[in-house]
Amino acid sequence: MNDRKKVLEEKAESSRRLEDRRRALKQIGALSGLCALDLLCGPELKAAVIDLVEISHPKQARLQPTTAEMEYRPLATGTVPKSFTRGDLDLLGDLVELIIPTTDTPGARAAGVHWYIDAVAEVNTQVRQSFSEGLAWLRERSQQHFDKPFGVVTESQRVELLTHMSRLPATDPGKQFFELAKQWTLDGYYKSQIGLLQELGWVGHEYLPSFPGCPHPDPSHRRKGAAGRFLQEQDA
Amino acid sequence: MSNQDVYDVVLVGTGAGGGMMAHFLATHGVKVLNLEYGAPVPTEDLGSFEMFHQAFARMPYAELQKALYEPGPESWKRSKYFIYQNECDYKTAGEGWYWRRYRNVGGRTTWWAGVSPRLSPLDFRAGSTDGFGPDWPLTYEDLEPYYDWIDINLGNAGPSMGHPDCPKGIYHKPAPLRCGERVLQDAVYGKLTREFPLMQCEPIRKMIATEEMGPGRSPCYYHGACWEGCAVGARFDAAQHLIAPALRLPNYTLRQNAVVAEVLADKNTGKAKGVRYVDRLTKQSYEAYGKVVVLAASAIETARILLNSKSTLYPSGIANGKGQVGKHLCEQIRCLADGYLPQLYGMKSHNDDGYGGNIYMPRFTRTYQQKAGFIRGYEVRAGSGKGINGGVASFGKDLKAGIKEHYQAHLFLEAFGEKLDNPGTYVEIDPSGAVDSYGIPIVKIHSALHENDRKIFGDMQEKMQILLEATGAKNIQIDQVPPTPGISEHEVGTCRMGDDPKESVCNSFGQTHQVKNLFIADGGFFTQATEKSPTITILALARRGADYLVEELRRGSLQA
Repeated sequence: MNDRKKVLEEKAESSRRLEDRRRALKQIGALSGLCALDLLCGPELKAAVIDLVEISHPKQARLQPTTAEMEYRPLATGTVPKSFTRGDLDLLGDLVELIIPTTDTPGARAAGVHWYIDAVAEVNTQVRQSFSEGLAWLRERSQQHFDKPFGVVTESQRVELLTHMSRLPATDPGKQFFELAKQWTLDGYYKSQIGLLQELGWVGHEYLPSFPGCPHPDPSHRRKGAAGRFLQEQDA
Repeated sequence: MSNQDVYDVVLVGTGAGGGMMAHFLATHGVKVLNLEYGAPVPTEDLGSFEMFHQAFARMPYAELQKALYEPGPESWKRSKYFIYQNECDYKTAGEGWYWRRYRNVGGRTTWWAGVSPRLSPLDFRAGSTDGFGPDWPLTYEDLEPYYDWIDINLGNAGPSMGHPDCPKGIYHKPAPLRCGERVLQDAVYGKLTREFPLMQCEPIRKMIATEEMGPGRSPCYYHGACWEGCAVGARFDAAQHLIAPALRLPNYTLRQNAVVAEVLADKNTGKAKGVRYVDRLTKQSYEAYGKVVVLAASAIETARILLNSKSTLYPSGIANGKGQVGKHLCEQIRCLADGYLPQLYGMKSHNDDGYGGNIYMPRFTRTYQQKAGFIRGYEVRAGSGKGINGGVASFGKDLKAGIKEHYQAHLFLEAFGEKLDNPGTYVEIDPSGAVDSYGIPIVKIHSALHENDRKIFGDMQEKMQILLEATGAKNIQIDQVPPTPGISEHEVGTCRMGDDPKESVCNSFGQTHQVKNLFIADGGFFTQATEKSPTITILALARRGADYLVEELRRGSLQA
């Protein structure tokens, strides 16, 4: 049994056997289906086991993703916020839009990131509390600095306040709120239809008969034209 | 079916060990009753269609959050198959323990990534080499034919590497490397192998069919997230490839929703005569009888069943005469690191789903670890592709543009190191007497870090930095503290095998020293954790144990 040569011969033999079995099963399958399974287990179990009769490739057709699976929904938006007050939700919308603004693609507000955080806060009480406290902090600071609510101050004033927050020491509640808001904004935006597909141009979710891997001649990718920005220039 | 049927074998569990036992015994004419805590997973729950980020882009958010951060009963896909603490609680002491349990036919093999390194000849003799713990009661040569059998019959992709920690196998061709993975490989061979002669950086070995295997197997379609289940059956899954064929045989019976409480012993002979189990849905107790009982319920769960099997003959639990059951719990310590490769900035987004991270770096610590003051070692897995780099700028347009530029340039590394068995890490039945929702006493998992674990973790951090710097990566982040114990989901060793009955629970076939017709067939029987993923070795050992069991049944040596 230790003889490796024998093992390798067995491998060849077993693939021959599989070939025979496949042919046989194709014939049996047409006649009897999965009668053994019918007897031994309920429909629930049958659903779980991969169809043994079917040969490999026809699966591809059966298992192609359905339209519903390929469809992307925008982030959940609702008429009534579940976790925050209407005022807090608007303020949150302003804040997320500052973090990921509209450029040549829509920003975080259009992607509904504030609604996303609202939905997360519904199930995660810690997120809810941190955001409620943070938004209160933001309101208060806006009054202090500009004598106006955050919603009506100018764009440059908002940027100024946020820059100030981001530079506070790590233990300061302002800095902590900035990091929290940033983390959840990135989380929501790049998982949204707008962020993932429009902004990043994500591709995937396809059947590949073989995996192409890296196509570039230079493994270090350091030579000009190998990859990276240079590749994009070439493509353009 | 009458409960009074006596089977040849009552087998608990359908994962790697249980599935292999079930398949081999059933195909050799043994009458098997296979008990499984959960139910089968329907194909639509095997999610190889979508990566996490896709799901996020189209699922109701609150539900996904529940699924990912606070698993709840109604959550998504694989978390439907978790065992939750309100159903079966466990307690921890010391460093804590993250215990993820699955209740489904196929066990963890339905949800694993597929990484399948064989143990090396050196691993089997590690104890006598460095003086820590016993050697395995078998050698690599004993197990090699079983590893080969698995490669041939269950499919395994990867390179045959010439490395002392990577014995040659019979592999399918591995998927080619991605851009970032080639950058890492280039850096390792160009800059680091002089200092670390054992460092190699090659495609990973995974139990994935990349070539035609025959009915029931489709070759890999490079669709990403293997750990969400493989609907085409390319990645090995005990339910699809071991249990399903067994179900066609009249001598194999699978009973789902059966929560096994204890092993029943015969008062006169002391032999195991069956198990008592509770139906998950009706909560009613049943007994099942067999000439042989095989436990393959996962390392901690098997220990729990043994310890809960108390009788006048076995006051501290069956097979626990020397107090070894539940001891020697060990696993792997993990260190994650990542960075972004400037060479790849601005690369166009493209489909690089593949089958997960595709770099494997076998243990390279042997040449310097003595000087560094630790024993055993670690492996590194790596992958590259898409990543969101929030550290690229503070906020606003710069952040948005930077994230887009870095999107395809992500490189991540994952080091798995061997955690040594230590007296502070073990499983016991919770002394407070608490029970789960089936009335079965729950476990308390104690854990402590060995000094050696900390040193390994420190060395991992250092080498992750070296590796990432060699590639020229920016925004490097490396785990700063060891993760919660149990997070590797590679726990083993609670019923370890050995030649000395005073120091071990079973022999190299999984047969318990104390009760000759009681067998272990899961990770519990590992002598040591090693740094390598355990699944393929569980499969090989269970296959070897099944070989032995069939022979013993034929000889009639196990019957009461």
